[in-house]
Amino acid sequence: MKTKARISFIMCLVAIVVLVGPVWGATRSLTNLLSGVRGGVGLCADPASRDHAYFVEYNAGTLRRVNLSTGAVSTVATGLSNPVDVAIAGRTAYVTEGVGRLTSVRLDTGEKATVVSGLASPQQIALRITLLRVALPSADTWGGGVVPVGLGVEPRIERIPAEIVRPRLRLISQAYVVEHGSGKLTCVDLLARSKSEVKSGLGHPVGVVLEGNIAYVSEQDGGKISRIDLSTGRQTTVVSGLSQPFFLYKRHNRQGLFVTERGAQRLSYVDIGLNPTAAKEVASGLSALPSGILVSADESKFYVATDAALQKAVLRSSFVEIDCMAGTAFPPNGLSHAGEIATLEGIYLEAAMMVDVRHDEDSVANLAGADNIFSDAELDALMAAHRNPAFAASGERWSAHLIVVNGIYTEPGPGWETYGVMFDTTDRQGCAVFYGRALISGEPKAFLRTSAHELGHEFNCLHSFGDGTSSIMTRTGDIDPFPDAISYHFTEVSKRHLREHPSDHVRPGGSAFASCPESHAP
Amino acid sequence: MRRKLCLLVCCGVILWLFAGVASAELSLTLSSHKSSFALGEPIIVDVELKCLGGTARVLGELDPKYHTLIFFVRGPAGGEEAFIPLVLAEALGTETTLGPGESLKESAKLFFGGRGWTFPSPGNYQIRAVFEGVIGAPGPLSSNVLALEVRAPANTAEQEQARLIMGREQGKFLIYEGGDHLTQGIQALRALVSRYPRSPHAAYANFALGMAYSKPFKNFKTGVLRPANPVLARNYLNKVRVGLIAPSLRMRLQQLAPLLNLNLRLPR
Repeated sequence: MKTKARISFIMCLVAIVVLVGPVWGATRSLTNLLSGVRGGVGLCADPASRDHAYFVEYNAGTLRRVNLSTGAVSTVATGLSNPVDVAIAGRTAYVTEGVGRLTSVRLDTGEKATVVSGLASPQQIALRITLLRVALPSADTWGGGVVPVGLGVEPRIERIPAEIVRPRLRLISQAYVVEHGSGKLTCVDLLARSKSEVKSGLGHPVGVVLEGNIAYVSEQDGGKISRIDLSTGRQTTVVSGLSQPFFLYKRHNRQGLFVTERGAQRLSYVDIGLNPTAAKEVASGLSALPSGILVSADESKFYVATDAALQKAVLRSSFVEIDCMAGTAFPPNGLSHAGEIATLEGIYLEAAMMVDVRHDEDSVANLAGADNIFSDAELDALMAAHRNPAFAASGERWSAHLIVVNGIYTEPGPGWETYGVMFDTTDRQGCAVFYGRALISGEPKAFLRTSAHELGHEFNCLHSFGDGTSSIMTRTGDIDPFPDAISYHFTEVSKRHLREHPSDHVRPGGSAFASCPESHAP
Repeated sequence: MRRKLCLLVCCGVILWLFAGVASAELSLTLSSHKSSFALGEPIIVDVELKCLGGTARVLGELDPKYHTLIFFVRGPAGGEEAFIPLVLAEALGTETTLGPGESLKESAKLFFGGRGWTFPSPGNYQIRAVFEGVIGAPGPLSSNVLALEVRAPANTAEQEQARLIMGREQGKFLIYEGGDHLTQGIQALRALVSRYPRSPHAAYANFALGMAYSKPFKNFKTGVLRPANPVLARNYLNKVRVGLIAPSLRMRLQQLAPLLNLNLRLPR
């Protein structure tokens, strides 16, 4: 009888798990793209197909290719010795192996060759493949003797101008590898098949990514990410206190890193443009031993290789285009408040939305002359006139717009100060913050909060979502005192709306303000 | 002894804070200068927050864009929806104290908002509002229910008037009382005032066009600051049939008359 009851109980638990399906944490959803993985670690994009990726299985010794839409998988190479990471250059994969090797694998044949050996527990790989033109006939022609023409995973030869006679080309083909066992960052020349030490004394490094002449390295000791200048070897700490930080992923064209934290089983984001900075959670509840990271171009899908699965976290994604009138400033970022570092990205990441803040125009003419008061009609025209098509919504990525206005609003009466407006409520496609108000220009806390609040309206968040708290969506007049009592957090009601409600009722331009059929009960 | 004194002071402060509200009697009244409107005729509702007795402390604007006063509209189909103003504004205001008999008055342009035209079809409508700006009040203050009728067009001319005014850009222009960039809306409103000058729709269109040209306009679409054009403004405002527009607009027009040297078409 007891056994029967136990079985029933376990069956119920299994049923609940199956029914609930995707895990709802900070992310919109977290699902297994591929189960049955045998020690998944390194993961990288397939440069030849945006729908595919490569990953290695530490326990099975395989390099595999996976379709990111369907989860269909094929094996590229077997017989690797505890492969840890993979990076692709052209038709060659470079794989670090636990036995201390960096191995090349031909993607078409699966043929393997040792590039270097004797590495001490090599981990993540960062490729640097650059084609340089050197020793040009005239320094005047190019303004210098060395011109990089391609930086990335694949060599690229650009058109050589006719006036250049007999240019010499030099291919720099390097892999930077961190060695967990020896605490070194090592540079491997992939053509010469030689290695050289770049930096030693790292505290059990695991992850590495490159940005120009800078390497970012995750270290298990102290749970930190360090910044290493490859020219000088100077090392500085970007962030510490992470929970077993593992592999890194550089945000495309942005000052940001994604990092898997094995101790907390989560994926986090670090704004490396800020000092000090802090990690913000992107996805939690990942399976055990999260490692390699891959992010879709529109930043709406995050793939993580874990010990037993390839997981996919889906977030909402939006550009936030910010334009400034001449004489104003962009909203502040990285404010220390209540023991936290507040950023627009961090505020929205808490609600499972990855915003890509783009500072666009910085000198929009205010056309004001002596009159620095802006009417509704003028603001309506302003919103429509300064959208940059480069940050237009496309695919899964939305677009929100904010303008910092050098002036004030047409107030309803004396004693009133309007800090921000949202335009227009028929389709929620723009908002403005009034820099002419001393509280905005002189109080960064109020400036950042008002910007986040008006953007919240663009994403169809209502004031009532902030009821009873000093949340982002609380009506400004209800915060006492403003801005000292502000909080840079959304309420759970707002977060649920931003994360889960139908796309058209959240995305700017999707529907009228306040039109959302879903319940917004606390 | 000191403790007792502190307690007494605290009690005093608490009593003082709540005294005004506890003894205040407030009313929120919605009214309109008429109860029946042609389809597309802009509907503007007058709001009065009145202190009937005691003293009330109020923080908030009676303009719905500040989200302290929220309107609800029940249409002919029966469902009630909150009115969404075209612009949402985030502000800090000053506290107002209302003594017995004192009131705050405002007019609310409800005809167009975030959902488009608020009264899009003929039938009976009910409007109510709640005000959330009474300091210390246990809950929002509710208004009376204002019943209005929107008449179906009686002929093709009235159909055409409704068609010419009930566009998105026209709605925005009428709410903003400006917007040179709303060129299609302006074109339709000009056609309206030219073809149907005696209609109530034209009265509102002339008013909005005149008010727009009475002020400069920062046209960010063209990058040009247009100066005020008193001649054009006078031209439109002189054509407003004053007896057809809401009293709040009539009052503004009368205030503007000496400045622009207007010759208003006052009702006989």
